[in-house]
Amino acid sequence: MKNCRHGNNAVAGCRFAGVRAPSRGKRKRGFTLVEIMLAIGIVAFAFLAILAMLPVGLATFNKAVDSTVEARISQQIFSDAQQVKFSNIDGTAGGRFFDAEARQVGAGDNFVYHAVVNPPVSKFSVSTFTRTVTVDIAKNRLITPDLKSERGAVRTYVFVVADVGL
Amino acid sequence: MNPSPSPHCRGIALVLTLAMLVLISGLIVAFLSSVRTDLSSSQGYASGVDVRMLADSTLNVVIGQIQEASQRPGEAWVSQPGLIRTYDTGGNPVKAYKLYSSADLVVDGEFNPLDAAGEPADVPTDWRDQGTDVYVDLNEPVLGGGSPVYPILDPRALSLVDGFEATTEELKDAKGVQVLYEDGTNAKAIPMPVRWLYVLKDGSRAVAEPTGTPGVSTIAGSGPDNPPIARLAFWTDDESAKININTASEGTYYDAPVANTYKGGLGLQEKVPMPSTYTPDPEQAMFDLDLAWFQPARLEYQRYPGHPATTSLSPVFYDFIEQGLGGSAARKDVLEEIYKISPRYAGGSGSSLAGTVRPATGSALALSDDRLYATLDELLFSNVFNGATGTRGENTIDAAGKRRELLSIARFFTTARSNAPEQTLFNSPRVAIWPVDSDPARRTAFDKLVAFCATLKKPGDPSGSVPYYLMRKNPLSMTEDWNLTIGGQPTNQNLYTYLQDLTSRAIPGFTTTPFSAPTKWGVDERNQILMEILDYVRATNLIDKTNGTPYTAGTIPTNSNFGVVLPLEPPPGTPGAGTKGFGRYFSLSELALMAVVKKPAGDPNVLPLTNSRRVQFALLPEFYSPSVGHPALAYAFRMEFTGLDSLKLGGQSLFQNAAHTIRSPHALVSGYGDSSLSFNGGPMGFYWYAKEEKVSYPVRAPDEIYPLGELVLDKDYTGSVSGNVKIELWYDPPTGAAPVLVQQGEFDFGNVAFQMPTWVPSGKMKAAGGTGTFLYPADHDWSGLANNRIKYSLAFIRNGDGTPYVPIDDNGNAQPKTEDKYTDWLVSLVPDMASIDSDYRLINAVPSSEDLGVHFKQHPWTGGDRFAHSLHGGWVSGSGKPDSYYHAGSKTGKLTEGIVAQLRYEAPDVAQPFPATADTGVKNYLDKTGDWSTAVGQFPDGPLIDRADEGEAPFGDSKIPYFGHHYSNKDDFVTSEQAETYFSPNRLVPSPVILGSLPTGVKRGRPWQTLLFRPDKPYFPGQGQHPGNLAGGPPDHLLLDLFWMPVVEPYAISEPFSTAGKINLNYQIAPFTNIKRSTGMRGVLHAVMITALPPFAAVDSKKFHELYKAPLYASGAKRGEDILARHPIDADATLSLFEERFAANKPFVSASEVTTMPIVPASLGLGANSTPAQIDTALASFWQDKVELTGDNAIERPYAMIYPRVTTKSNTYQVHVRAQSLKVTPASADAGEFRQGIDQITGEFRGSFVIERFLDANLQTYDPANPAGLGPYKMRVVSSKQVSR
Repeated sequence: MKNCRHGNNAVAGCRFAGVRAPSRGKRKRGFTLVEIMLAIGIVAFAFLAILAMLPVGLATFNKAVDSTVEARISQQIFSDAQQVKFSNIDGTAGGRFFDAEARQVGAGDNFVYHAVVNPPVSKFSVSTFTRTVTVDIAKNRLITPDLKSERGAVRTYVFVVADVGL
Repeated sequence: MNPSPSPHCRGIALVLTLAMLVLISGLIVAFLSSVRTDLSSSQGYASGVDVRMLADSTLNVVIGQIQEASQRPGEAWVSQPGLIRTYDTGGNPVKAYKLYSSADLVVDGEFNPLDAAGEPADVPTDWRDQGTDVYVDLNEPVLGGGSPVYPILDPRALSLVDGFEATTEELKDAKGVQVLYEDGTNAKAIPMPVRWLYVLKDGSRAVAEPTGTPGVSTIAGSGPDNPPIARLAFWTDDESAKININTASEGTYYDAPVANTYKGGLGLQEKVPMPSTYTPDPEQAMFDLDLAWFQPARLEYQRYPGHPATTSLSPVFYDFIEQGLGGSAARKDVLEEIYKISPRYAGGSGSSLAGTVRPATGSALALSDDRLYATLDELLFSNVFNGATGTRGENTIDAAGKRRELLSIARFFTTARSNAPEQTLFNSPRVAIWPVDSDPARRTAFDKLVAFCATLKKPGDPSGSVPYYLMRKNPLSMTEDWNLTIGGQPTNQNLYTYLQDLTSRAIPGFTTTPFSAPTKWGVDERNQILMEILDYVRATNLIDKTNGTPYTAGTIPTNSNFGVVLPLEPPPGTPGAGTKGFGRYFSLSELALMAVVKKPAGDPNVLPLTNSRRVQFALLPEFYSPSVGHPALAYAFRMEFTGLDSLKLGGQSLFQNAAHTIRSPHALVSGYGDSSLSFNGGPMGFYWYAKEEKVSYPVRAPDEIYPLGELVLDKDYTGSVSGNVKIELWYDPPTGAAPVLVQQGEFDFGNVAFQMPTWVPSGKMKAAGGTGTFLYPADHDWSGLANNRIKYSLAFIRNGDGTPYVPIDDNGNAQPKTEDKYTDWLVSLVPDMASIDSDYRLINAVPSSEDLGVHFKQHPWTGGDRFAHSLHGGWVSGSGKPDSYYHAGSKTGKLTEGIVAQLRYEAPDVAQPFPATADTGVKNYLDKTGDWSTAVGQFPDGPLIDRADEGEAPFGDSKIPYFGHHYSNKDDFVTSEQAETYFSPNRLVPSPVILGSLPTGVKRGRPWQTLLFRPDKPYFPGQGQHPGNLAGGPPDHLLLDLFWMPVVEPYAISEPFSTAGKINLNYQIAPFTNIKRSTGMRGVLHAVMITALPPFAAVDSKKFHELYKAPLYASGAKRGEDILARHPIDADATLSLFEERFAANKPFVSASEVTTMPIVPASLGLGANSTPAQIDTALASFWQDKVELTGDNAIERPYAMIYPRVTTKSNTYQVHVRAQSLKVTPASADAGEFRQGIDQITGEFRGSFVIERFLDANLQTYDPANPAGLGPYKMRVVSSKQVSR
């Protein structure tokens, strides 16, 4: 590094130090290799640390997106379940696929979210005029029993639908 | 030597590097921060969506509860705040559906909101100790600046709202600091705690239980794979327990007057207007002359009996408005402010100003056409919009400067939306009791709205419709309306069949025994009662001209169809055959055979010395109509007599002609001075055809006089009259349609000893036991009597006290009662004492196909007394005044025991014309006091069907309506009807309770018993064992459940099979039974009074013309006293009986049960703390003498006003929700616990939703085969509100 400081541009590691060429008459010294190595080391170390946070940030970002999209998906499924004639409520059960913007896509299309509406049950309220609908939503993966047992892989939404006489 | 680096350059790389690092770090941090914010925002959005879905889910839980509870086949359901219960046909509780979050949402069998100690069963006293994760206070105020915001109930209501009780706590914030209201006083809290319901991941429900460790609760069923993800709490209020600000206003009592009570010392004279100096004070006392003179104006709905507008807002707003008006204001001024608030009612100029002024004749109020309030929050604003400022006006209601406080307080007691179903206990449609013309072109706007409200789609055929109301077309036929076909269907027969079906079923909520069971009515009697009801409806609203020709056309006095509705009599082979309605007509009530002796020619004071007598015989039919009231009833008939020659005396026929016809062509016959009959129903008398013939009068045609015959007999002749005569009563429609046979029968006089009549000179009669004054000349100058003439003889008319007149000598001394001195002879056939007992309603109901004669027997006095009859006189010819001398046609009978001189026109005779000495009032078949009716105005009381009175308009302004003139005067008829000016369906027909005078013993021969729509108490007729309330059958009042009167003015307050603004009788709040809210019922009772006539009003209570003599007020101590027949209600004491029911866990299953609840008059001073026993004793004492003059219908009258405004089922509910989304730590999930401070509440929703069940107008049907009944019912969310500051 010291050599770099003395204008030894030939020294490996100095050529990229960004030091100016020596001026006529007065030769200025560039960064030494040591300096550059130190700087690079610091940068590398810091970048490693900082870059290591990026996936976390991106994951968080994804999580935020997921929250929003899943909320929209669950709301959509809830609305659908509300709209369907109550006698057909059981027909709402099954898998549905959504893209990144919560638009429903076909099973064969590229999907981002997989939502499974479980068969409506009468667990929350025993009234024959209500059904409890649970919806499992996973991202980028098909929901399987194994996936469901994986903690955090599948989010579950629950809501109660009533027969309002539609 | 190398120059050393410039000091400022040394380490620059590091600096630059670090700078870069800082920059990049900053960017990264900014990115992460942004991501974090995004996440937070997303999670906020997601949790917002989540909790909203949770709130919706909560709502759906409640909807599911309501839907299931209200559609259980074969069960009756009943709602109340927080609860719906169902009952089977045995009256046993089946299910209780909780409308609040609780460990059990449905309870099988009986559920009592109260525990054994009378405390709330579902709210333990230590609910706080169990932790905030177990119970949550739904009424927890939101704190911040200013007064706290209460989500449900503001404790400040305690001092301002009537009928509200609750225990308060000091309100402290999270740090334990006392919270203050804006005015600096200590804020209070009224907790409303319910259980949290935890939503587990698998969709199941769980509740938390305390672990003993503070802040930690166990969630049963939760675990690592099934953690709680949310929790919710709710409580559902019944909006029908609140007062509806759109339909209610402020009622002032009104009812048609029944007696001439007035402020003491008023000193009115006959046919005068009310003195201009007279000022009524309805707040202090309401007299019947006040009701007559200060009638409500047209469209003054707040005085229409039973109208929702009579439900009063004052229990909530009175204090506010009074404060707004400066602290103390006259009631009428406060009322005016309330009317300004009401969107569709009006007071002010043109109204009666709460009964204090007389509206101009014919005037109608200018109603407000404001739109209805959508929410309670709008209450502060009027509909007056200022275009310049762009602001709405403000209601005076908040003049006290407490706008926000007012809304906060009112929210728990008032609503902008409440609706109750008009469905029966069978979950089937009710039948509207308003007649609708079969021709759509002849229907008024009201008729159309009624029809709309009471029509369903045909099952399986939405293009077809099924009317649940009666249609009518022709009043002058007994069958045409019955056989009406609409769309190929016999609509009225179908309606009847439907009612037959309902009355043949076990009744959910009450009994397995149907009305048709032999232990109740039996099939025939049931059929008869249903026919009576339908025909009662058919004969209602006769003179409404708002859409051209009224149902009964014609004009008094010239037309014979005025006010006439021939009774329905289903032809053989149709449903109901064998029964007969009442329509509005009359029936033969007595058939008398009279014998008088002609005066010999020459000096009238010379007794006949010859041995022979020319004896003249006449058959006198007398008529009775139980349909008393307005309009007038044309006295039109044709009577055919046949077999007259079979009536023989000693082998000689009394009548020379075998057949005879008499004809009364129209209502009032001028020229004969014959203003002698009641032309408004009741006892129609016989006088018209037996009156004195003056020389100047034209000779009558043969068909204008009764059958006459003449024999010459030896003065000592003895023998017997025997034989029978056939009579047919016909009506000849003026339209030229075929004559209608109304009744017929063969009347057998049996074998009765004849007593020779004698002749008594003028002035030789007086009342037995009298003071010697000649009461009336007894001179029958028969000398000029031709075959077609007869003279009216007072000699066979009894004196007012029932004793006969007796001969006297020239000094006025009574002569021995010898045959020589005695006078005419008269026997009669009267309705069978055993089966009819002068309850003429039973005679009126005999079909034309049956022999009426079998119901007539010899008068009980036949054989000994010369005057074995019960004929009535009429009003005195010429004077137009009723007079007791002329009305006691027979020995005086009584309607009730204890009234000695119950002369209300002809009332006593009508009721019980038999021996006064043994007379203890009318009795039913159980030998208990019987049901009779108080007539409107000055008409006589008696066996009436209490038809809906179509009003008595003021006679100009010159006479007091109902009392100030006489109905016998044809001029009065012309102007006394008020159809055009005062007509209103809801003024005419308040509710089905008006059917309460229809007899229930026609087919079984049980007189003096009518439908029981009042409490069966020992102090009322029936003496606690009324036939309508006996074990072995459903109580009569359940019949009310089958009918309704849609409220069609001033806007569609009723919709198809529902009515807005009804108040739930079951105001008990579950589970918060410690909070009492009777405000709604107080609003209902506020403008209702009890009708109870004091006994000393008896003598002349119906006689206005006597007022100038002031007999009522001049009798000793009574002079100057106020005689009250209308008594305000003690709501505290009355509702304490409701509380007793709630305490005994006996909710009202049918709204008709309100008729079983005694109403306590305020004058007894009992109050809320009275025990039921005290109330019972006081009421017995109150009624002890008043039942003597108060008819069964008058006792039922308050219920007619209350019943249409109450319900036991609600369509509208407000769900108060608190929902939280949760995130539990894995540790908590593994432990199946929820830990405060560790586990997170990620989102919360607090708010409320108003939901309503309603019928789909395009699909609504009723198919008896469908166990769910009337439907389909749908649910909608009317409004939602989030709690916020």
